[in-house]
Amino acid sequence: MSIETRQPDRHSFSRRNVTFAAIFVCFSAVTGIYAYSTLSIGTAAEMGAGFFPVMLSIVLALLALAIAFTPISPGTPPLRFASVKSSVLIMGSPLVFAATIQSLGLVIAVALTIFFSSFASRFANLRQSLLLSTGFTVFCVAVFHFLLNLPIPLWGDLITG
Amino acid sequence: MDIFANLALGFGAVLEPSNLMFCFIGCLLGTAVGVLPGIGPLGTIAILLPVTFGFAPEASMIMLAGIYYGAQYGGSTTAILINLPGEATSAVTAIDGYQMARQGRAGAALAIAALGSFFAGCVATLVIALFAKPLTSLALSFGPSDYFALMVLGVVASIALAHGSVLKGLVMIVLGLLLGCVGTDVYTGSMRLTLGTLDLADGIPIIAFGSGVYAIAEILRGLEDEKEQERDVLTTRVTGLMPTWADIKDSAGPILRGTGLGSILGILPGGGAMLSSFTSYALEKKISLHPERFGHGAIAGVAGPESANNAGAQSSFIPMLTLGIPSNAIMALMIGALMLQGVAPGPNLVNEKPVLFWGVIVSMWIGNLMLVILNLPLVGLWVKLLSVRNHLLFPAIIGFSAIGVYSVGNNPFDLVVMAVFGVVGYGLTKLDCEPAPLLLGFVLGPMLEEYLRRAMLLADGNPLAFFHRPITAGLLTVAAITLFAVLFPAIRNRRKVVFAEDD
Repeated sequence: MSIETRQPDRHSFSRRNVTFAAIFVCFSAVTGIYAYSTLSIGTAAEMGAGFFPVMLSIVLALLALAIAFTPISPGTPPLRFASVKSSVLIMGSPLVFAATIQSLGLVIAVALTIFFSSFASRFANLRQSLLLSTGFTVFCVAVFHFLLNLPIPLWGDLITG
Repeated sequence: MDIFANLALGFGAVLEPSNLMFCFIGCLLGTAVGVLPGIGPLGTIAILLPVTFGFAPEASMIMLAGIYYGAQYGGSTTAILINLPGEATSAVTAIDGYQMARQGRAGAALAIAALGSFFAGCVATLVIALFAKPLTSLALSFGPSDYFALMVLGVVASIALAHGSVLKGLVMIVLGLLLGCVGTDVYTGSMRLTLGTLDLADGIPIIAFGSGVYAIAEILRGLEDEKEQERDVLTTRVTGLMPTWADIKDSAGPILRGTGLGSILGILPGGGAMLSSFTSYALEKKISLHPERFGHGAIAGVAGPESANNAGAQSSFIPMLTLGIPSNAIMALMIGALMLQGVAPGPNLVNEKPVLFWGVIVSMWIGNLMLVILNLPLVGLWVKLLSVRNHLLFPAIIGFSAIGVYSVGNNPFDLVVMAVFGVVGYGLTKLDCEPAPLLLGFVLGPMLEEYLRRAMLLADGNPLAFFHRPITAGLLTVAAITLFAVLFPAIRNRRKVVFAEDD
């Protein structure tokens, strides 16, 4: 777990922490207002549905605000992100599954999901991805359908009609 | 003796062929994910939770538990052989274990790690068996405010003992609590924070949440800098698994101390395998007659932490099984697994489901035995697993978790939740936040709120009345002191020293 350490400047704001605080303060404000306007607060003795969420939103906002004033912790690795292509493919793959599972069924949904997500890697190539998705689909059908008897149809509405 | 009858009951449950098989599968999977970097027991349990949905509760818990302690074994193998802790808890093992391997003593290091873990596992199983019953009776006398205070203490301690920013840990917990509010309010029946969709009426599905935060976000982290993996594996040099007599003599003390330390630290709220192994390493280094040997292949630096992490992994089941309160994120998932099975976690578990309760405890002992056999002679096989390339592994993980998430409710919406939490989880790691307290808060949220509401009703809306109950007052005071201590800079600096081995 060796991490590149860069010495933080103890007296300046950390941009990352200010971003953090901004995101969380906005989030808790929206959540708090949403909870306050849609739910009853009740009294301390008989709390309504909104008491706990509103209370948490306030605490969250205060904590997040405090973070804006703290320096970044030492040992924090420099910021790096996965490439846009990888991110879209990986985050989108559950959506591919969601979009196809009912209409096309388990077999095609799994195969598509794996095929789609495999291209997030730099090392992916068509032949490997086809092999991987075919092989793993067979494995999943064996495990989930035949071994565990999960009630997920192998073929979807569009295919069986 | 009551305890023998109980253990016999447990043995009866575990020795059933199907449960033995699940225990074996759990240990096997645990070792595998322990060996593989990038996927840990937490992610595996999150992904496999839905698979266990169709099993009996015993089988499901036995298998999931096996994954957790099995990963402690697997993690040490890669830590020693290639200086790559497959599991965060083995990070300290790598310091001296890898040095031993470079000196050609990999066999001895692996053997001591496995035997120490086995010893610790056996002792921790006994500790659980001994303390479970008295703790349960104690828990039954707890009132709602006591429970509330206990959870607050657990949450505070889990942040205080973890490393990283205390404030951000708190933010993660509170965010988790808030996310736990989503869904139908049990008291009033009103829909809370559901964004007007019925899909969230039962709350955010825990499996979609866990798979998103762990599977999706972790995979993306792995894709940040993909390189040709050239791993320097020292397998060819693993000869002579038998440790020498001197090795055994040098490691007996550390194993005993590590076991004791792990058993105690595992029970603490927020404790578990990670804390135990770091503390054990620090302790061994401090009391050693030759502290200069640490970092250059001291066997005590392998024996102590490896025993401690296994003991800690197992004794952290105690609060989960006896109080129904998770002490770390893995136990939070275990609670989720129990609830999905329709089993109410809490002090009544031991009376209502004795077979489940004692079966899980005994399965740990059996599982440890299996793990020694799995790990020592087959060490070469496990190291081969590392040659599986990451880019062939992650699509399979995504496919597997997608089916798992869908299978719980047959609702495609759950996959959207998974994708959303994948984005959230990835974003949070970029803001230096740990996802573990988020998960802990998420599972604790509904419980914490329920006890708070009941306690406030009993106290007639006056929170100061909490302090009339000695247990509540005591626990809340300890929580407050802990929080103050970690936020106070002088002590915070000392805390960094404790975890300095990590860097």
